[in-house]
Amino acid sequence: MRDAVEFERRGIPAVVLANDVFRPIADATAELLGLPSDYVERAVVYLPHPTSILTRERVQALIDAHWDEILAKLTGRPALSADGASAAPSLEESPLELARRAVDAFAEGLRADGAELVLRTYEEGVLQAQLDIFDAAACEGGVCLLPAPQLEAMIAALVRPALPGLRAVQLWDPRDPT
Amino acid sequence: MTVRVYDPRGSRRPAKAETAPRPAALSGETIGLLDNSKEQADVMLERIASKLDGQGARIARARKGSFSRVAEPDVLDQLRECGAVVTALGG
Repeated sequence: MRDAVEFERRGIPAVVLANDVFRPIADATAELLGLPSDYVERAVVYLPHPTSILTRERVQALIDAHWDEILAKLTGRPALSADGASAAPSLEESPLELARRAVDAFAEGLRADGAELVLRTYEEGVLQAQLDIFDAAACEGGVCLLPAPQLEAMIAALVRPALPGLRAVQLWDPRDPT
Repeated sequence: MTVRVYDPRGSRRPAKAETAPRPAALSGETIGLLDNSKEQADVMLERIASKLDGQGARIARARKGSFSRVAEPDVLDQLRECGAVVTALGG
């Protein structure tokens, strides 16, 4: 983001490719740097995390899948889906399904560290979630995972755009079962 | 004698960052690709270069020494003639 700001300051518009787990950081950085409130939406193309473990062919396929969006953001035009309509989430999804979709890429990152994030219920603005550490060896029993309060904050930041009524995320974490 | 005390916390209100207008079309434009040296960024930008070539754009490339630092001025200068840039990979 900081490089993008430097280019923009020099009169050169920028498009930033970023992993989607860093969405909250991109938003915070944009605000910190004094960028317009819609800058991230206009300039950042998110790729599903993690990309570092993908084969060369899958990375190329990922760029192919996002090419319309990259092109649109380079030229400042709205991105079109394959059928020519703007991509939009289905209105028929339940709040819990929306929440699951919002954390999908983040959950994939946790999975690489041996932990499964399970969203159990969403009632009256409270999202109940559970962390299952299925591979203790992957990161020494979960020590490389963020502590529960930070995970809750990250989940809330990811889910809130899809569920504006979200009031709290309660995560049951086996590292701290109290 | 005057004593000046500096506040290390910095400004609470950041200066408004300027943004640049985007080119309407890429044909004939030079598009800069900044590789921040993170894993797979080179593969992504190589693919983007081939797609930009199909749009009739020219390509300029630069690479940062470290993804954790802002690009050095000489790296930014390498892309100074570009009509737009793509940077990879944030996060």
